Amino acid sequence: MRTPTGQATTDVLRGTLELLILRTLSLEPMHGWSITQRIQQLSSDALQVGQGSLYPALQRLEQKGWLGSDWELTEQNRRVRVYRMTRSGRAALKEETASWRGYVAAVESILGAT
Amino acid sequence: MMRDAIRGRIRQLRALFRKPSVERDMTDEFEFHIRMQTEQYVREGLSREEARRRAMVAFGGMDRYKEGVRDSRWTRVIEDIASDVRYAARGLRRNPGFTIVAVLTIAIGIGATTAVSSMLNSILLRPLPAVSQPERLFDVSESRSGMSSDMLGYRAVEWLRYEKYATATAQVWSGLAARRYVGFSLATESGAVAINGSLTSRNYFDVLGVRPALGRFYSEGDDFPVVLGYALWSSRFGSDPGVIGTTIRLDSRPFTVIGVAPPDFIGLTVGIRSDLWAPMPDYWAGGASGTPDWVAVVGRLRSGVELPEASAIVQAAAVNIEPEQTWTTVRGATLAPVTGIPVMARTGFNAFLGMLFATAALVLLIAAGNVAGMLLARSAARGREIAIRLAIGVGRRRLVRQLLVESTVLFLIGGVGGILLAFWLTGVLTRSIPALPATVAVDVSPDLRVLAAALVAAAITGIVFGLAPALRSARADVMDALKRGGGRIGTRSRGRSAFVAAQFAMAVLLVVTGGLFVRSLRAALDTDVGFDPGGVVAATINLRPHGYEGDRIAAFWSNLLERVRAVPGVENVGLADWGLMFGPTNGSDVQSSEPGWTEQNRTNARFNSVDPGWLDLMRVPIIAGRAFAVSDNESSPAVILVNETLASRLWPDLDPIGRTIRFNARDWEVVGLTRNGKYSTIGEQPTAMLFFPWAQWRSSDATLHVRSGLGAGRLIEQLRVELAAIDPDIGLENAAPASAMVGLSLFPQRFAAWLIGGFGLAGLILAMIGVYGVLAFDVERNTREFGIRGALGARTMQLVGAVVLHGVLVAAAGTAVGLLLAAGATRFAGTFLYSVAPLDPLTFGVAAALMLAVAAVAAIVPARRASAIQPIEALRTD
Repeated sequence: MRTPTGQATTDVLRGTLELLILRTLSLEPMHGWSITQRIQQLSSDALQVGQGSLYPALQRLEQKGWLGSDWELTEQNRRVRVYRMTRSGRAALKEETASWRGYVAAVESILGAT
Repeated sequence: MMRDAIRGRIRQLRALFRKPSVERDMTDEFEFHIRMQTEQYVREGLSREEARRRAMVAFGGMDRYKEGVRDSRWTRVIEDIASDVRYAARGLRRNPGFTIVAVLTIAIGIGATTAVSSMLNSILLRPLPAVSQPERLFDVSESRSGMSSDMLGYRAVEWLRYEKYATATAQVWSGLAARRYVGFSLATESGAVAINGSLTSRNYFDVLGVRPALGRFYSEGDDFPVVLGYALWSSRFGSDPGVIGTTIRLDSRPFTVIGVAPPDFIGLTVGIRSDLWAPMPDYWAGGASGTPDWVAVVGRLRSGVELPEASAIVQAAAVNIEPEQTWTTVRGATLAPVTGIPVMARTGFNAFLGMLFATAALVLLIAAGNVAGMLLARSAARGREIAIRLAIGVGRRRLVRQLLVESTVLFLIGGVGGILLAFWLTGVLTRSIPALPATVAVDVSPDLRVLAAALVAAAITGIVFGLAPALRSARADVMDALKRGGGRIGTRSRGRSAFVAAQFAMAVLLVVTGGLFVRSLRAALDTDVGFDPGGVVAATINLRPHGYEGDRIAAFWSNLLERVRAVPGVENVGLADWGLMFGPTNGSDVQSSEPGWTEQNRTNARFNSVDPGWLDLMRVPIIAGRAFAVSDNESSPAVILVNETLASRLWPDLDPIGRTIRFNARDWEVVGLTRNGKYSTIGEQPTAMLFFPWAQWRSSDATLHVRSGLGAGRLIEQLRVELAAIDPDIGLENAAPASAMVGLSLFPQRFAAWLIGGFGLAGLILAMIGVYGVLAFDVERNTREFGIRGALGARTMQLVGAVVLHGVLVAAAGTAVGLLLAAGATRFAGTFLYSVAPLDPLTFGVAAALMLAVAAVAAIVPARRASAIQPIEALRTD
C-alpha cells in the first residue's frame, strides 16, 4: 500500500493491532482517526492501520472491557467518539507487552542462531 | 476488571434494543474519520474534492466496515437469527398453501408423539408423586404352587402371613406395610353409598412417606380412625376442614375422621383411586365377620440395606414361614420395585406403551420426511432467489442457517399445533376409559415437562430434517441456476423418490399394525361370550363387613330378591357369587371322584355359584342335561354344572352328565353341561368353569343381576331404594349395565384399535401427501419435457400414464419393503392381538392394495397437470 505521498508502508500484523491500540490509548483518550495517525507517527510512518480492521478491533477491545468510549463534541459541534483505556485495559497492556517481547525475543534468537 | 468486561457486554446487549441509534453512531464515527482524513490530505496539498475522494477510497466501502464492526459484537448471532426469523416468517406468510400443509403435517406427527409421551410420562415417569423416595419401596411378590390369589395385578398373602413376614424380615425394612382394595358402604342421610377404598396396616402412610393434606394419619391409640381421600373430601364433605374429628358411619360401624390425604395421592396403582383408608386390624375388630383378608405387601428398604441382600432374606423367610393353608407350598418371594403398575401387569404394560410410542414415532418420522420433501421442492422452486442471494455475497453458511431457521420456525409452529392436538387426544383417551369396578382417576394430559419436550423435539426435527434441503440449496451453482431460471437447484428426482419410497415403507408398517388391531377389535366384538348381557343390570352387594352370619345371610338374599322381583318393569332376577366379566380370579384343582379316575385327571377350574334365575336371565346355553332348579336346595343332593372345557379335560370324549367331582369333602354330581363362555376377559383362553347352585354354596357377597324394561339409571335408583329398605347401611357396589362390563373387557382392544388404527390412517394420508408432493414437483420441473411431448403428439393418456406409473412404482417399491418390515415387526404386537395372527394375510394384502391405490389417487392431480401443459407454456417457463 502506498500513502498519497508515495511512501512504502507495512500493514499492521493482525494480532499486534490490539496491542498497538492499547499502547496508543495508554497515553491519552483519543478518537479512531487519531489512533491511526498516532500509530503511523510513532512508527515513523512504517506502520499503516487499515480502517477496515481498526473499528472492529476497537469494538472487540471494548467488548473485552479493556476500552471504554464516550461521545464528545468537537469545537465545530460535531459528535465524536473518544476511546479511553479502562483499568483492566491497562493490566492487559502490561501482559500483552510482556508476551509480545517474549515472542520477539524468541523469534530473534532463532533468527540470530543461523 | 471483571466488572469492565461485564459492562462492555451489557452495553452491547443494550445496543441490541436501540439498534437504530447504534447504526447512526457508526455512521457518525466513520463520517468523522473520513472528514479528518480529508483535512489531512488537504493539508498535504490536494484539492478538497480530490482529498475527499481519496479519503473515501482509502476508507473503502463503509458498509463493509459496518458489517465488520457488527460481526465483532457478540450479540451478532442474536441479531442475525432475529432477522432470519423475520425473513422466514415473511416467506411463510407469502406462501400460505405450503405453510398450512406443512404445519398440519408436523402437527399430526408432533401431536401423536406428544400424546403418547404424555401417557408414558404420567404412567411410567411420575406415577406416585406424593410418595417419598419411591425407588426404595418394593412389593413382596410371593409365588405358590397349588393356588394363587391375585389382587388387581398384585400377588396377595394372608394378613397373618404378612405379620410373620414383618417379624422375620425386620432387619431389611424400615417398615413393611400391607393394603388391599375394598368397597366400603358409607351411610348418608339418603341411604348408603358405595366407596372404593383400602384397608391397610397401621404403618401404611409412614412407610410410604406421604404427608396429610389436613389432620394426620394413623397413630397409636386411635380407635377406628379413617383417612379420607382428597377427592371424596371435596365431593362429599364440601372440603370442610371441620370434618376432622367427626364420626362417620362406615360398614355399619362408627369411624373417626383423622385426616385427609393429599390430592396427588390415590394409592399405589396408577389410575386406581382409593377414596378412603382404614386400618385393617381396627376394621376387623369392629365386628365384621370372617378372618382378616388377603393383602398385598409393600416395604421400604432400611437405609444401608441393598436389594440383593434384602431379596435373599425375604426369599429365605418366604420358604421358612409355614403357609396358612397347609395344602399349598410357597416357592419363594421376590422383591419388585414399586412403580405404580401392578407387578403382574408390568411387562405387558411396558411392551404396550413401547409399541404405542414406536408407532407414534413412525408417524412423526413420516410427517417430518414429508415436510423435508416439501422444503426441498420449495427451495428448488426458489432457486433463482437463492442464487441471487449467493451472488450478492450472502455467505453459504449464512444461507444454510437462514434456511434452517425457516424449517425450525415451521416445525415450532407445527409443534404448537401438535401440542393442542395432543391435549385433545389425551382428553378423548381419558374420557374413553369405561367405568371400572374401581374408581379410575388417571390424568394423562401433558404437563410442562412433556410440553417442553415436545417443543424441543419439534425444534430438533426441524433442524435435522431441514438440514438436507438447506445444504442442497446452498450447494447450488450460482451461474447455472441463474442461466436455467432456477428450476434445477440441487434436486435429483431419484433421491426424492427413494425418500418417498421410504415413507411408504414406514406407512405400510403403520397401516398393517393398525389394521391388525382393528381386525382384533372386530374379532373381539364378534366373540360369543356365552351369555347375553343385553338389558341386564348388575350390582354387587357385600354383607360380610356388616356382621351378617348364617341364616341372616340366606334371609337377606331371599328378602332382597323378592322385593326386586316385585318392582314394576322387572322381568327377571338372578344372583351369582361373581358377576360376569369380573368373574372369579380364584380357582382350584378339581378331579373326577369316580373309581379309576383319580389323580391322572385333575384340572384347574374356576368356580361360580348361581341361582336358577341367573342361568335363565343370562341365557346361558345348556347343551346337555338340565339347568339348576328351585328344588336344588340345601337338603337335596349336591349338584353342579360344568362347561365344555372342564368336561373335555376331565372326561375326554365321554358324556359328563351323571359323573361326579370331589370337592370340599363332598361328591358333586354333574347334572348339566353349558357352552363355553368368557368369564373374565374377552381375550382369555378357554377356561374350565364349574357352577354350584346358590342354595348349596352361599356366600356373603354376591352380584345381583336384573333384566328389566326400565332404563339402567332408573333401575339402579330403584335397587338402592329396595336395599335401603332392608338395611340402610349397605351400599350398592359397581352398579352398571352388564354390557358395560363386557365393554370394559373390550377396552384394551378398543383403545389399541382406535389409537394405532388412527396412527395407521395418519401414516396413510401423510404417505399420500408425500407421493403427491414428489410427483407434482417432478411435473413442475419437467414442464418443458411434458410440453414438448405434448407438442410432438403424445396422447393425454400416455402422459397421465407416465406420471401415475412413476408414482405407483415408487409406492410399490416402498410397500414391498414395508411389508417385509411389518412381517418382522408385528410379532411384537402378537401378544396384544385377539384371534388375529400377526402375519394375517388379509391385513397385509389389504394394506398393500390400499397403499398402491392411494399412490395412484395421489398421482392423478399431477398427471392431469402434466397432460394439460401447453407447448407454448413449456417454452415460456425458462
